[in-house]
Amino acid sequence: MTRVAKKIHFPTTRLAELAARPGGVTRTTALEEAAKSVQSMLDIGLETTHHALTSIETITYSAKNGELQPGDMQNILRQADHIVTMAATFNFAGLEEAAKSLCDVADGLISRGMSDAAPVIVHVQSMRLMMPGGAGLSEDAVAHILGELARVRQHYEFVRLSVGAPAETDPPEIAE
Amino acid sequence: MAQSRLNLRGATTLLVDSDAFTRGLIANMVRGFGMETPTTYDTGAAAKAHLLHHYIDLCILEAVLPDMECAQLIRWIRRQDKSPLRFIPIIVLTSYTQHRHVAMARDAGANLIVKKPVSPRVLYDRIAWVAKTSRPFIETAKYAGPDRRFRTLEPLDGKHKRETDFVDGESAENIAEQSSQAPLEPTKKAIAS
Repeated sequence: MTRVAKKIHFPTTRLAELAARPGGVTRTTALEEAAKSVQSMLDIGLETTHHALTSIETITYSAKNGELQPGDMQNILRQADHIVTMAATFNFAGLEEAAKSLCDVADGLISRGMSDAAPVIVHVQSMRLMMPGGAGLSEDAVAHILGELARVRQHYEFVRLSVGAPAETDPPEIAE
Repeated sequence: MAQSRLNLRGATTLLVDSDAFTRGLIANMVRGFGMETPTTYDTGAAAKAHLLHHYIDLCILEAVLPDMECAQLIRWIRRQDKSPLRFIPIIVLTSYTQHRHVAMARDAGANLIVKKPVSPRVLYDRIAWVAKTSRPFIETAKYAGPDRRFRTLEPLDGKHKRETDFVDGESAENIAEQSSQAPLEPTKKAIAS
């Protein structure tokens, strides 16, 4: 049997040394400061979301004969992914779900080598309606639209990107 | 009970993410925690160039960068021979479409992987965890990075400590007897041989 060379180090990082110094702030104070900073980015977030959606619309509505150009789907996927992050950051739940659904659809189309514009268009129109400051839809209307988007995914039998893969590695809880 | 304090003043962060909004968001959060304003880049190549000439205390990377997978950058960091660069804590951020890259980032030597959107609470707790928790650094032919096994250090809750708690009466006795005999087995065999 061959032995596998293995070295084990016990390094002390500078981050650990800094954190162990006296002083500093409590978790509550740190989180309050950070939350203030995040909230101050709401306007930038909305502007960036609007910009990302506009770029998806430009790509989507340029489809010829119901087909998108190669490479378009990758751009749509990237922009939709950014919208998911921003919508989730500021709790725009409907927009987040619609953008996730668009990611599922774009990813599914890419993996099958398809370039249908129709399922993308219906998502883009739904997202526009759900944009903050947009149509001001009721909760029931949002749920109904999301249900219809789910039917689009079912039609193509696309698997959701959130299914099967672990999202993160969790450390054990830290005691206060 | 008074909350413990964490002094992150002076800690430097390298933040690599293709999305400008996320870079701004995370930068604001770490400043709120008392850390220095992070150095930000949108590509892995630019991050590598920075790391060759600057020391940083924490690395926050997006799972998929425009020019490379973060796993590639992490492996490069973890295989650096000199400097404490290879030991730096690395937190990887995954967006909705990047969940499938979790295993790859972990196997490349990331300390923790966090799902976007990142809330201040989640990010603070992860940074506090990597700062406070000492993990051995494993180096083999195929892997270099922190020990991937998490040990739960919490005390047991006092329930179900005995093997007999898990089974019914009769079979429980057998298991208890087998368990009590088990430590003697190697001794008996040693004497016999």
